Amino acid sequence: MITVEDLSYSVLKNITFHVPRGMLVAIIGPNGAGKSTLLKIIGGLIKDYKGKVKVNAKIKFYLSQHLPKELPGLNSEVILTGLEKSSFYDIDKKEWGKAREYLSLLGLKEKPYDEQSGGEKQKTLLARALISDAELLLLDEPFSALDVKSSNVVYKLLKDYVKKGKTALVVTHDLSMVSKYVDRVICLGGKEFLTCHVDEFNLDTIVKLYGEDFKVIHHVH
Amino acid sequence: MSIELLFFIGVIAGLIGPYILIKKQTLAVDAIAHGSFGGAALAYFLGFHPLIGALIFASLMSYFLTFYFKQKQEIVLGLTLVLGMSLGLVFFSLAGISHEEIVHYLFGNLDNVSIYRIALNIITGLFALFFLWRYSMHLFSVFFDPEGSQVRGINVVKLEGIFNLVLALSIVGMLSIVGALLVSGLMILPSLIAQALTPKFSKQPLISAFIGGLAMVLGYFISLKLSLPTTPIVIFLLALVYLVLKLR
Repeated sequence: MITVEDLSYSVLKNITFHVPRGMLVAIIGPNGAGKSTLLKIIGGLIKDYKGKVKVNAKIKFYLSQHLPKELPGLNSEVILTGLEKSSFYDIDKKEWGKAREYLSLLGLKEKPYDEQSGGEKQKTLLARALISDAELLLLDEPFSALDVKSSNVVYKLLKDYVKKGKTALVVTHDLSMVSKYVDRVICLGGKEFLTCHVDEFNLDTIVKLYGEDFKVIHHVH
Repeated sequence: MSIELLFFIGVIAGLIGPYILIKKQTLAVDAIAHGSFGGAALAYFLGFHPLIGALIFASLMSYFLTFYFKQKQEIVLGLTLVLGMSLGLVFFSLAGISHEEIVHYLFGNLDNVSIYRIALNIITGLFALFFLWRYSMHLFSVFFDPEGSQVRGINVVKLEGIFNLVLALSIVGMLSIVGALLVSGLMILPSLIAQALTPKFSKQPLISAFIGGLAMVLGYFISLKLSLPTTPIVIFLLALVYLVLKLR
């Protein structure tokens, strides 16, 4: 699905990895490590990089961190804009039903987008990505405003999504969710560049990535 | 000037409005209108038809809006607005045009509307109807999420460029009829009223278009009765309805 060879751009230096179809992949790393930049390169928004990037997906969907907080319209309409169609006036009942189904899956009610909380808006935008049915989802910190319960729901939806042979790359800072749900981890900004299967993702990896001052606290119950 | 054409102009202005609100470009409407006023004056001074100058200026503005005015847009648009206005007043005065005619340009006049302007209104209006109907959802996407739209394969520059051009040409069409100072009110107020009436975006352009058309016709009859200029009455009517809706 994605092949990156010897990619260099800004803070990203000589990165090589391969992501097969049907994978949920997390991109982790400290602030300023180039996580968002990597997503933009894969999405085709940045073109003047060095190295080789091959993405084998007809339709890609990119969810940015920086979308306007205010929008007119219902949350269901915002979800519908994830579809391929070009006009609201071509949307049929089935598609409206699908948008509303996503709302209920995510515990949302149909209401004006602006009257939602930050977390609810984020869930609406995630539903917009999921309804797109794109072969490749590129999601930049889609969970930053979500509570634990909602994050779990969304990760489960993403797991189901990639089971259909699609791929999702997710930039995140929540390491507990990473070890629970994702198939592979791409670690940026450490002393060395790493990609690993989630089973190999352990304390050593985290220390390599975030530095020696990363401590494990054992909970005593 | 026929009632049907007035209704049509109101409909088109109302139809475009909701998209300007997503794009957060109210200032761009004023900048294009005032810039075109300057262009019209310059053309008139040089001995051409004012409509030609306005069309050239407005097309240039839509080009710059699409390709260049991305950063510091507020400053650039604010400057264009005052420069266009100053240019207009200076060149119309130099050309020896009467103050009354300048007032008509600024606040609108329904008498002596040229056949070219009527044709321009009808052609751009019909195209705007088709374009905004066919691409309502893509335009929504492009205006609030340009990067995401580009990744999905929507031609962002083309859609935005066509929208800006439609906007600019519609403004030029309405320029001397509605008045350079009041075009933005006619585009924005009906869409604000539509927003207050329904939260559903896909319905807002339809309601806004109907309100725009109705306000133009009602305003026309009221202004005839009171012997006052039409567009300011239309703006008053719309603002009143909006206030009542907001305060209820």
